[in-house]
Amino acid sequence: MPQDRILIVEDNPSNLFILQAMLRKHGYEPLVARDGLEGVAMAETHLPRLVLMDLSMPKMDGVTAALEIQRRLPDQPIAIVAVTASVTDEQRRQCDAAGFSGLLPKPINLPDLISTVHHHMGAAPQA
Amino acid sequence: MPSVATVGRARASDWANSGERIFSRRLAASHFASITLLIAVVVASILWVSARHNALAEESYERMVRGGLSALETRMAAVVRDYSIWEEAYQAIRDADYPWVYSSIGIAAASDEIGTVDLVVLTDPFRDTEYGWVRGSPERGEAGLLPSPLRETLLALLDGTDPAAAEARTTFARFDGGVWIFAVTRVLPPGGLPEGLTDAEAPRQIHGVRLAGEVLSGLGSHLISSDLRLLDAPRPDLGAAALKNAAGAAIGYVAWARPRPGDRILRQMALPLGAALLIAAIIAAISSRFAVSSAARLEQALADARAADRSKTEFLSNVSHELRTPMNGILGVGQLLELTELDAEQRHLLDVLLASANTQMSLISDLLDLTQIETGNRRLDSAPFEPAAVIREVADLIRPAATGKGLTLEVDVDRGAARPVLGDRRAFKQILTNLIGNAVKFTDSGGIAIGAATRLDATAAHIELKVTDTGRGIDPADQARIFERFAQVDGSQTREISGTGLGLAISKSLAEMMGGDIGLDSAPGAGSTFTVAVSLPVAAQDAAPPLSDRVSA
Repeated sequence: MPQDRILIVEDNPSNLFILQAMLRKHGYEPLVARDGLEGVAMAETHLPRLVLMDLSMPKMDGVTAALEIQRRLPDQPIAIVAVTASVTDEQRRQCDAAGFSGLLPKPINLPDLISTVHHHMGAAPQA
Repeated sequence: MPSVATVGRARASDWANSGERIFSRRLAASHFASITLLIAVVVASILWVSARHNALAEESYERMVRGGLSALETRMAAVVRDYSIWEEAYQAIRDADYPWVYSSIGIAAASDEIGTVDLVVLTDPFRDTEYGWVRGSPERGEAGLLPSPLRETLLALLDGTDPAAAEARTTFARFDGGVWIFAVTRVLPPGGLPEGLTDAEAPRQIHGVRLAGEVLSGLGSHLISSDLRLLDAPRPDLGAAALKNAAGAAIGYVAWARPRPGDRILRQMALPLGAALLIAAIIAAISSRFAVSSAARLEQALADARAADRSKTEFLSNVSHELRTPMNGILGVGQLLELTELDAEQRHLLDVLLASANTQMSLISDLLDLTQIETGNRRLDSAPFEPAAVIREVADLIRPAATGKGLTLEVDVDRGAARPVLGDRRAFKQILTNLIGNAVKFTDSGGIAIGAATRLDATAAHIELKVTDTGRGIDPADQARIFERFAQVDGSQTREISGTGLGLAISKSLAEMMGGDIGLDSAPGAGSTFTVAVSLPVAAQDAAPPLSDRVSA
């Protein structure tokens, strides 16, 4: 299975659309999950290299989903970056503690998103 | 948002119920301790005064009894000395004139000025015998009234005294089942013994008085309220003065019931003092209760206020989240639009839209930051970072805006600033962003200079950041005010410079949280220099930055 894909876990359709569009503009074709539970299942199936994880979601929140992915796939090099409109210190600490590799605040800044993606995926996007 | 308000209330009551009433509990404990201490001190002082009174009375009793004993010895010695140089007595003994000796010495001594001389012994060296009377009888006297060792001891008291003078000696001794005081002297003709006689050939006279009855009770005189009694050994419950024989050994004790004037004071004071202490304690307890309940109410109010503050913070962070989510749509679409083919008009419209949205975003961020600082929810990290790197990063970020206005932006950072320190990188960056951003915003020509001077000591890096601009400057009257919230020098509705007025308040709070401060040196028309002084612990050179440092902000 491809190890070089991006998984977006996001319940809000607008946010999802924007993330997808931004990534497509830079040559990535991301996988999509609509809640934390689905996100964990998709991660297990597709073993993405990078997960862009919303935090506040139905069924399973992003922090729980991130912990679950790390628990189920302990040996996989999967980077999980939080994408959230909650930017309090407490939220940052919680993400640090849950093993997130980074945090992108909403509204998403396109250059920040792309540099984060490049950092985790390597500079060359898939064709 | 009813759900938020409900959550806030539930939190507030939980917090109040958890009973963080540390201060009122401490206050109650300290009041209890001081009341107890006060009572203990008063009671201890009274006990001490009473004990001191007892001890002083005891001392004065002993002094009086010892005085009485020594007065008795002095009187006994004086009486026998009066009989010492006595021509007739010497001749009568020499001539064995019994009737004279009896009438002048034997019977006379029995009714002496001491009261009663219980025993008189007169030695007759001429016939190697003696006369002895007990209270004047028998009429002719008898020998051997004093047992031999005692008799020899008493006579030996005169050894070493002047054989021609009226010398007298006294001592206490046990005799006839009691303690006696004895006085001894020689009987001499005036001028001493005739030529050719030795001291052993001088008659001697011994007076003995039994320490009993009036003699004993007279020792303490009327000053002692206790009856004096004679003891063979001291008793712990009685005060006593030792009586010593010629060899210096205690042969008995004059004892008295210990005086307890302090106890009397105690008994007399107990009731009024106890009542006074009780009243004082009750008053203290009532006022303490009042103080403690006031303190508890204050603490409750404080707890409520904190809980309200927390729910306010929670509400604001929820609001912030809700505001950011649609902004994501606006800014996201805006950024995507920028990547499409646009004509000049469309691009201009999009620029306006993005600028407005960005302003809106900084307002939301500033409000959330300030709220977190003011409610104490902004806690500073302690992670390694390089101040110089952060300064260059912020300068690079803002340089396009400066260049766009035709301004220069110079960075002059000393080597010390490259030394990793422990602190909150994000807060440091925020202060710099605010100050440099303001400098660009309020300067129309010239430029901005950013400087860092670092002094390193054993444990800390003392960093002084200077952001100097050639802008319009700030009037002295406004200089203190600009660090307040929502303050801008031009407060009018029509002011030309946009901004929330929160940046400096946030920066100042953050600098203070780092144990530093922000200073301002400015004059209208002469530009401004903002100086940030912070002291941060020096990080170990090889310390790896933690995860939070890699989180993009």
